[in-house]
Amino acid sequence: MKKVFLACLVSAIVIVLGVSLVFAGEASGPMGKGVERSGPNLKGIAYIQGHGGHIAVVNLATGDVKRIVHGKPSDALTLSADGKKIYAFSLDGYAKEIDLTTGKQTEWVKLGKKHCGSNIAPDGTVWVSDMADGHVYVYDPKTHKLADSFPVAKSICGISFSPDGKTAYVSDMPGGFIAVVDVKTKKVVSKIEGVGNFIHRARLRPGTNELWQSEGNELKGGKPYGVGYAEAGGAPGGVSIVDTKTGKVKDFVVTGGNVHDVDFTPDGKYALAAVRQVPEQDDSGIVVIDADTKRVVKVYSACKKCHGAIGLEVPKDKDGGRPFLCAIQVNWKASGFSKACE
Amino acid sequence: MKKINLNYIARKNIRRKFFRSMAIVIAVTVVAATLFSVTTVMDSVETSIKKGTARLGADIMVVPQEAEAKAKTALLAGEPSTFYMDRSIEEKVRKVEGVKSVASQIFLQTAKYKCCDVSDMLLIGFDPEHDFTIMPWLSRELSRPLGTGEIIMGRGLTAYDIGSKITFYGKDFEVVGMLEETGMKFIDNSVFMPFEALEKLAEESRHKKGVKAADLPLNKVSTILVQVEPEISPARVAIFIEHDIPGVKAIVSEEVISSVRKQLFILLRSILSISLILWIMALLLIGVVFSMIVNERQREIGLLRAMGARKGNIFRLIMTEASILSIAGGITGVAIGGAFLYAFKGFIRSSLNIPYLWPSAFEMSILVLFCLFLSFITGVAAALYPAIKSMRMEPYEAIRRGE
Repeated sequence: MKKVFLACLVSAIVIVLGVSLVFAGEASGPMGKGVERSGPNLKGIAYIQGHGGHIAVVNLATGDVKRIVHGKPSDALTLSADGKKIYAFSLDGYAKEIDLTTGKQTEWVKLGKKHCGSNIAPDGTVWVSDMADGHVYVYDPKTHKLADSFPVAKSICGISFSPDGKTAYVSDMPGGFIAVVDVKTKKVVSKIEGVGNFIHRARLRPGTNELWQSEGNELKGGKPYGVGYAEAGGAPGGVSIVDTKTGKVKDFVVTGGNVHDVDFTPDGKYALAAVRQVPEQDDSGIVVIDADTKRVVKVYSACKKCHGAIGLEVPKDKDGGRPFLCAIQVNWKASGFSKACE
Repeated sequence: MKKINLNYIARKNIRRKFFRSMAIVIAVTVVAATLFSVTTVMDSVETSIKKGTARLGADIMVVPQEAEAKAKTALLAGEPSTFYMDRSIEEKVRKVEGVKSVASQIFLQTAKYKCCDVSDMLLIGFDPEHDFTIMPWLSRELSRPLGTGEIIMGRGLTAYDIGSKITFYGKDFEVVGMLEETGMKFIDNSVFMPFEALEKLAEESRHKKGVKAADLPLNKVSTILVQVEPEISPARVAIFIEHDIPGVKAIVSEEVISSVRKQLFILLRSILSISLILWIMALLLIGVVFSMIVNERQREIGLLRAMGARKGNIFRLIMTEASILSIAGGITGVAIGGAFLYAFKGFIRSSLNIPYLWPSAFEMSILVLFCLFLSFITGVAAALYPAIKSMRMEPYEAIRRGE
């Protein structure tokens, strides 16, 4: 009898443990239960440019993912000031406008050679960086044409403007420095050196002098290596925090993977980093960082969730068979997916 | 008694193995001839384009957007073609940031209708008051304004000279100026006259019996040539022009040069690859032949060392032989390459269909020196290892092994 009782007891314990583990697994987010629970409740729609010819659209409130197909492998995107349009810039040097309200897209227009980053300038034009020739190409959304082009460095990516609109910070990827550009004269006035090994896009944290510079760290044998962190064998990626007042790097947040861009909540409390190859997840996603404590507090899946669901495979010869994301921008006023999404 | 020195021994050795020496000379000749021909053609085209675009005097050429390809063909291949845009665009271009000066031109293609008219030429009307592209390049300066019955001609029209008479659309003109040759058919094969003269010609042609009416639209221009301010790049001003003025294409002269350079490189890439293979083969051949020479002459080298020749003397002996043969090959190659280019000048010019102007004496001497230097280096590099090997031979061992 004792034996039967003991067997029942052990079976009951095993079943209870099993069930609780299953439920715990379902409840936990990609980075685990702890991170998901302590993470902030963000509300907004994140647009992340991708190499697959489409933009990943993430509803930050629900974690749902949709996409906007535009047809060209691209790195750069920028939301218009009113949040109604997306300006997309492709890796073969073209520009396109996507109307989020109607879902209509303009034809691709030739701009430069290989675009990496973009941002809206104080005069309403869009500055687009080119990693092939180191020029900034100025796109005029009013005429849908190229309005100007000027040299900055060798292979540029991130573009950020100071709050007063007088200065632009342009990141040179392999050089690992930020060129400080006078917006009026369009001339490089100084450089912030030693920002990273292989840097991408950057953004100023609202209300501060901190420029958060994404550092992909995709290096192999000291040279840039395009596939994910797992193969790169380099240092983990993260975000370099540059004090624009002193022109010095003041901190580095390790996130792992290849960080390619950063956006902030309007209050500057959280940074949302677009990360290729989120560690241990074989996915690209949004890593939410508490900007004060520099801790990762939440992770959103941006690629696998969608690619996995529709069974869409990335060819092995493209980015090592993985979906890669690049520039991120969040529309904090939007609450649902627009007409342009599918 | 005749004094024997290293040069004497080297020359004797070359003569002694005449056919082997000739094989080396021929190998270097082929390399030098190919290289000289290719580099001269490339240099000729580039010189011509540079000279032509400099003569054009413009940093930017503004044409109607849809006529970009036509304009480039006219500019590079000299094919007469016509395209027009509104004359008011000239004023708009003048106002664009970075523009220093503008000069408009209008094109009219000649048509053979009467017995004495000249056909298939481009008549270019220009504004002498604002011109910076034609008048500064006259071979003989014209100290008075151009009259309505007077024209300026490109140097390519060899049948005419200053003072010649020529008829277009039934109207006679006198040649009062000739432009220096540029190699660009667009300039060399064109006829230039003031806007008013061209308009008058068109007007008169409409009323003349037996003359085809010239189809010249009113208040139009074909191209607007632009000079930019020195502190701003032409590429940037071209962007401003295209942004500010709808429907136009701004062609940057520098970009035309670089696109021709690319086009030419693609065209001559296979010949350059063959030259490289030939060069490697020549290097190997000369290396092998000199290794054989050193092996054959072990006894001779040993005896020379035993007679007091130093290691350096032996090294210099082999290198002298190699230098004589490679320079001889280089000179022959340059001569053959030059003769080939001269003989087929017309064919090359017509088949490339891009500007071609024989390089100046100075540029030609640089090319000749470059090819001779490369030939010399080829021989010296190939013979270096055998020369070092021969230098290291011990006299006794060399005599014994050579027997």
